[in-house]
Amino acid sequence: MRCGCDGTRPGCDGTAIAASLRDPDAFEAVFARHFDVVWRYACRRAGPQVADDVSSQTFVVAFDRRRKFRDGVCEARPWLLGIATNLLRRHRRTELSRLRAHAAAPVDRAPGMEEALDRASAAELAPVAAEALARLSRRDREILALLAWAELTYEEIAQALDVPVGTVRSRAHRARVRIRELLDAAVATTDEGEPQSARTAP
Amino acid sequence: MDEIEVIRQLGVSADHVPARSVHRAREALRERTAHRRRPDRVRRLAPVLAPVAAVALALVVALGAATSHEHERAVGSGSERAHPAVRLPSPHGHVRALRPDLPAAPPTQAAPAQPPPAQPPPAPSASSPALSGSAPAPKHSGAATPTPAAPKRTATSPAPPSSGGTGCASTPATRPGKQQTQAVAPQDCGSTPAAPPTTSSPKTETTP
Repeated sequence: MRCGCDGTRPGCDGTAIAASLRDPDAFEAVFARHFDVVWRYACRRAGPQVADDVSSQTFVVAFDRRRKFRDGVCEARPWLLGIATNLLRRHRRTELSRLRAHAAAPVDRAPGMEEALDRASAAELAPVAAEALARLSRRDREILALLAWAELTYEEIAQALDVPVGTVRSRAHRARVRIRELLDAAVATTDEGEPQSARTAP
Repeated sequence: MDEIEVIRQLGVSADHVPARSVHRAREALRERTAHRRRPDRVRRLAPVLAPVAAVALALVVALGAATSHEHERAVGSGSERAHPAVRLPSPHGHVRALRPDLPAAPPTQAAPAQPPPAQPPPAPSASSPALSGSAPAPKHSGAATPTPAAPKRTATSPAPPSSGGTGCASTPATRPGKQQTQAVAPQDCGSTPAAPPTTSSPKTETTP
């Protein structure tokens, strides 16, 4: 296994994973770099308790499969998030119940949010977005979660889910249109003074 | 307003990952890496284990070969005598074919204590190494001709001075092809075999 940067890039994961084939302790560097990202992503999707299990299991699985890490790739974050996404499929019920809890919960405005109008409106519409996410298909929800919470690009999502980039683009576009429709409807009802009906609208 | 930005506002983003979670995950990973490190010990011992295994294998093979060789010796000692009889007939089969007749003739004619059979054996014994030595000779066309000629001369020449009657009696029967040697040998032998037995027997009779 040879990384594209040949180890010259600081924090190159490909070199650390290649070194872990000879010395398993070298995988500790990958853990130190990416554990926070993986844990936060899992926590956003399924809560802290599930995040502990999923993130821990993600690195164990990644260590076992480190020989399959693609040649010439420096960044292991998409690969790790793809493993975490697969592991989170076992916690689908937990994720959906969590989203529905967000949808039913009152808007929690963080301090300072009032200053930015967009942010305020986003916080107000978060429950609607949670409801919309819960109604999406699993594939589409995974793509939007990786796009919004893990902040991956389309190419990285394709790499994480092992699907073509075109598929990711089309699915992401379809999911975003769906959510936008729901958000526009919610905004329209909010302007009319009926926020409750907007939240429950399909 | 971007829908992705709205999704990002969902839930509470943990600013700090709990240390307990990190510690727990790190322990799980270390346990797995320690589990995977065990095969590396075997790999480290491979340079030591490989020669030992090779020596053990060589010992087993040598022991098996030795036991099988001893078994062959013990069982097939008679078969070693059979080998020359099988090999020789091709180049010098006629000479070897004479051999059974040489010891067979004396007991029929004279007493068992006759020493002359001791004289003819040197000729076949001397010829047999020559034959065995000349066995590869037929491959070379130039060298093959003199070596078969030598045993023929030794076989014919010692016979007349010592007691040629014993050896020559069988030659006509075994050599139908060669006419000159056959024609000469029976003439010499025809006179000699009759005389020696007759001369020897009266001597033994008169002495007492």
